[in-house]
Amino acid sequence: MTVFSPRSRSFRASVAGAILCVSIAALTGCTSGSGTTSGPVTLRVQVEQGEPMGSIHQAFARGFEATHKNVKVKLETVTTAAKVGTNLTVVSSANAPDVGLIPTNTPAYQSLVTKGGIADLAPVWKAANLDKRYPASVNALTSFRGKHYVLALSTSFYGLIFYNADLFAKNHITVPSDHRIATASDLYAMASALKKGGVQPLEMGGKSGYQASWMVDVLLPTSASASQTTNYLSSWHSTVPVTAKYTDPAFVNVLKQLQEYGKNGVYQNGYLGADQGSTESAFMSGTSGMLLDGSWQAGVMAKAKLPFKVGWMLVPPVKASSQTQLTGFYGADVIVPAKAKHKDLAMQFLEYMVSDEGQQKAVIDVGSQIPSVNTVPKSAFTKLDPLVQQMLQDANTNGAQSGWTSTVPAGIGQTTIDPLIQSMYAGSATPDSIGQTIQVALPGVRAQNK
Amino acid sequence: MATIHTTVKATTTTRSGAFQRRRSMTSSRIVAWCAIAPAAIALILVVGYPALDGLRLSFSSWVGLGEPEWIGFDNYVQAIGSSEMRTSLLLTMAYAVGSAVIMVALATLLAAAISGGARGSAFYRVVWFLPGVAPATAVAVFWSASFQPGTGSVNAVLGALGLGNDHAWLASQQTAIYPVIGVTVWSGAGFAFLLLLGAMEQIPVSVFEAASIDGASSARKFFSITLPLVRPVLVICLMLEIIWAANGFSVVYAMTQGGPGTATETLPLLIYKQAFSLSNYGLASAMAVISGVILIVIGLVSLRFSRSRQGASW
Repeated sequence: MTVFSPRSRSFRASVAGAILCVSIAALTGCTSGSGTTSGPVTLRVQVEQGEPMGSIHQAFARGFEATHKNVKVKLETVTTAAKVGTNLTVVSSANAPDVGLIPTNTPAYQSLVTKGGIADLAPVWKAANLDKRYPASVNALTSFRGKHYVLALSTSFYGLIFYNADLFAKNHITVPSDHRIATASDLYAMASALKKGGVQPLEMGGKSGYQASWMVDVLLPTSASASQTTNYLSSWHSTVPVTAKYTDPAFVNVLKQLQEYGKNGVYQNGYLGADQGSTESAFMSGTSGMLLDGSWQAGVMAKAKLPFKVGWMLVPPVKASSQTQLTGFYGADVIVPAKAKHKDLAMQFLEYMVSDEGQQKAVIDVGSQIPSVNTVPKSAFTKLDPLVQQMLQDANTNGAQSGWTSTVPAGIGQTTIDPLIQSMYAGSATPDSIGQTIQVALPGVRAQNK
Repeated sequence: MATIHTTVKATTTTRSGAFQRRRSMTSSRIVAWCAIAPAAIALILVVGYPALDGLRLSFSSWVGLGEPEWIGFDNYVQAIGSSEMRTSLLLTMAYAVGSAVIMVALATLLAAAISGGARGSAFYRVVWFLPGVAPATAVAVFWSASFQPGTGSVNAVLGALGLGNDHAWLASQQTAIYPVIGVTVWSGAGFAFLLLLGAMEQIPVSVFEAASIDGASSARKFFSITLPLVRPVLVICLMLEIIWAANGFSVVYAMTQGGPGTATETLPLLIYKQAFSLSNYGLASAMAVISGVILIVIGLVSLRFSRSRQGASW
């Protein structure tokens, strides 16, 4: 019988051996970061909380695991609030996920890009031929100083109005055949008729921190000229001269129109204290006639098998001569952190996400969303929700536009203007004062984006 | 000679005793230092270092990545000169003091009722403490839904009473803070209640009996005996509740996210926005330092007040 004494040579040899084994195991674990080991690898992928993104990412994970037998994709949920805020500390930490989420319009994205916190996605662009498979607008949105750091997963439309067709019919409200409410008076008449019918008019989540400013995105191109709109979308870059001021009528008139919506009772009672979730619940339970939301909600409502028919429409333009377009959101927020342990594998996962197979099986079939690439066979689009198919058809016919708050940085964009619009609805700010506030903040934002 | 011997011996014994006492005290001190060392090291690591790092950050410009750039007092100048910060500070104080005063007043009344021998005291001890056990975010989400016009349970109750069911307090800049204060009081009163009940139950029964013999009414006994004797605990309780409410984030964020507009944007929410939504970590740290200094001053003044009154009372 061998007895180990702490002082014995054999004991010390055993301890040294154990330490060596642990060290080798640890080093082996570290080298698996390159993705070259044959053992099972866990790929950590962030996913935004809620539907349809949860289901879409599960489908991505299943598809990727099917072709990468030694990989297990672990989905890590991130709330919307964290995605635009505290997630910077996560993706820049030593324990960063392999695939992270940082939207392009956040200061966090600017910080990561300028400080080398995220990987250049050139390998993905090359392997997936994204220069040609992404529309030019998406390529422009995802590039920063000539390089691509962020991937756009899908296309969706936001700031549109879903309506309860049964309630509209019951209250003798005529639905516009071209999905466009012609004038503000028509919108007020719809709201009034719904209220007379005992239901709430347009559900809007005023406290959510983004819905109050969504309609700025929708209305801005109907108030500003094409060149003004382009300048509003790009003047936060210090290299672009400011030709359209936020104190100009082109911008202020958008806010004035929104202010009129508030004054004319377009929204539900208590809209400034409601969040998006509660507005969706109210609409789906049939207590409201309209809902401000995005195209992704069409699939959610279809799965819920609502006992009434749903349609969609767009708010009236600011200038009668303009036509309101669908506002696109490209979900440009998928990144690979510089400190990701399995960077090569993460790039492969991103490549799968934008492959025709991934886009079809996850984005269309599961999420009922429009693919971000233009090579998915048109026959696959028949699986989209009928409402989304209508929107896609409309965008192909009438065009679509980029949203101001989803493009410009937070210093003038959503984080700044949303509370100001809330204050305007509450009566403590005016369209002119908001325009001035944004204009005053613009030089600071430009200074940060040289 | 004998006397001299005795004196010398006594002196020797005294010196030896003093030496032994000194030695004993030294070893006691070593033991004491050893005993507190783990806690002291832990405090330095988890409180001291982050606090110093936060202080360092408040003198820097930092976007969340890379090396912070030293900019001196610029962040403090910006914070103090900012109307947003001043408004938020005033709101935070109003919210914290308002919540704490109502909470402590309510807790005092509840504790007085229970210590006075109200029926079912064991049951109420648990029931009043339960809201404090529930997670703050869950509480805030629940109450936020309850305050919604039409569908919320608070409005449903008011509607059933004929008082209307469409009150939208959270949607108005003038009224949004009141439901937030109400929920803060609801969730925090239980802790204050337990503290004050403990203090009240320490008051000797004979004092109340003597007052009863002198013909003092219940109200007189409460104001002349109970309140003065629990005053030290009352002050500490008030101070703690003010500090906790001023630092509170979950309830306000979950109920209003600081809105409508910035009507309920307390300092913790403003600091969060500056740091995590706008990536102004330096400015956010300066605001946090200013907020911390104010709360420390409040705490020290309260402690001083509590001690002086304690001396006077006892």
